[in-house]
Amino acid sequence: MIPDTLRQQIDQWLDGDLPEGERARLKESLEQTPEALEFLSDRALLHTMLAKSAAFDSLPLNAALDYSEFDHSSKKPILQRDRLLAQPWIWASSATVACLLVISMLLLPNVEASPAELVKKTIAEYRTAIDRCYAVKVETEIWPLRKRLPGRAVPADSKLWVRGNTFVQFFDSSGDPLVWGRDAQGAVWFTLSGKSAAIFEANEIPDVLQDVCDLRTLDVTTLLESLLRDYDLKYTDREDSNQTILASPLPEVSNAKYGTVEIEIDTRSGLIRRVSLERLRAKRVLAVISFSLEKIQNRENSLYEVQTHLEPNADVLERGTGFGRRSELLKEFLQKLRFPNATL
Amino acid sequence: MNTDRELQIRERMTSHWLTSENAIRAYIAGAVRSFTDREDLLQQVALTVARRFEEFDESRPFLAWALWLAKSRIIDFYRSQGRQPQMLDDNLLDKYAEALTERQQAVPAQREALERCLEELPDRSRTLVGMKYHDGLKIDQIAEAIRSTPASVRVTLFRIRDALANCIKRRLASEAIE
Repeated sequence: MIPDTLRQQIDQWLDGDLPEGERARLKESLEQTPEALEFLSDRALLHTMLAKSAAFDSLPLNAALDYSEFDHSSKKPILQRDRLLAQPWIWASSATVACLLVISMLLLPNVEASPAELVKKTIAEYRTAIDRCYAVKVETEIWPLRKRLPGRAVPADSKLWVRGNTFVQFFDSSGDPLVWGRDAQGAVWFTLSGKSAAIFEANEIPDVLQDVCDLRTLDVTTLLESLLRDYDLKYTDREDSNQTILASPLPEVSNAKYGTVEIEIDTRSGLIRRVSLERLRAKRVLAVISFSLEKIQNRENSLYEVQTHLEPNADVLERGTGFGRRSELLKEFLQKLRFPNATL
Repeated sequence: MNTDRELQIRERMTSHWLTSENAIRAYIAGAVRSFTDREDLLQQVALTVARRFEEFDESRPFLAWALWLAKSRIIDFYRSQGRQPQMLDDNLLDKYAEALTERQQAVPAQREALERCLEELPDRSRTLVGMKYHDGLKIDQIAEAIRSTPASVRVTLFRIRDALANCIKRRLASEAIE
């Protein structure tokens, strides 16, 4: 049995009445005492059932409850208007929410939306800060270094987690893991085996690193916005609720980052299932990159921070440690990224 | 999509929602302090459920799926304010969802029992509960209305809820024996 004080704190929290100073203590108790979480579950359900109890339904909405049994003579009357405004539980009754559900279903498109409309809907979906994991495959035959190292595998497969503009990408480079990412402040970082790392703040990212960001990561919103602006969109294929759009650059667009883009969207949820895009440089195809959605899951903010991916006592080169040392490490990182099996 | 199928989907979704709404409300109430934010979040969860209902696997429990969506909305809510969750972190939200899912089956019987238990309450206690849940008054407003102190109202309501919880248990236990 948990102490009364803790049980009262839980009631107060559910009443929206727990003082700020006591919240940390309650949080700690919930983390450390499984019974406290059990009690919270029971009590939260009781609060909810009370709020929707039919016992009070016989009263009209603007009826005053009889307070006369309380032993005082000059209680201050509560205005009817205040009473009505103070009934959030009643306003948001089951019926209201059920209607909301039905209405939202009715609003779902019964006729096929145009490719541009579908892309707009998808942009709206991706503005929410949800973590999505993609399997990434990069295919290229044209890098000069690859020609110099015949037989070496291109590091095609990696996992990419994205949330808005932040990302973290994991490469399994033959047991020598490479991880890199962009944190919430826009700093780009990478680690070599978790033993050494470099961080470039948003305003000092070298062009070569920015290019790799553009090449290997997926900034969904920017990509979709550029599709709407600079591309001709056509539906090509449909399987169940998944619709594929083929996007080709408009002839008048001379500086497109991407050539042909193929994008598969779940029309119901607005989720992008797969993206395949040609990355261009000087109007030539540099690589074809494919992103396939693997899962959607809430992840901690720390996933996108370099500290999470470091071993103890790792050597971290930050702003202030000199650009030269960071550039050296960057070269090593890029080599490993391109040729994971190469002996450098 | 043909009309019959749409109709079936809506019926299934509404039925699932009505069965699970208490637990979803309870989940949000455990994680978020403000009543207004709770209501906003409930509406967001309802919309998300509607938009994504076709992804729901009918062979799995609806409540677990809906609470998973609710968790995302709660985390989004705190992120949008640049804050960490106030009371339940990621791990606790999962455990809390499990606890509520376990209790889900008993809720309809508990609701019925609660109605009987409310009838058994002394008038004074029933009025106090009505002020809190029917009138939607805050603790200090109740205290002012009955010329008491907020601390006293809190303790009284705490005891009434305890009494109601015990009454529900007793009723369900005796029904099980019968």
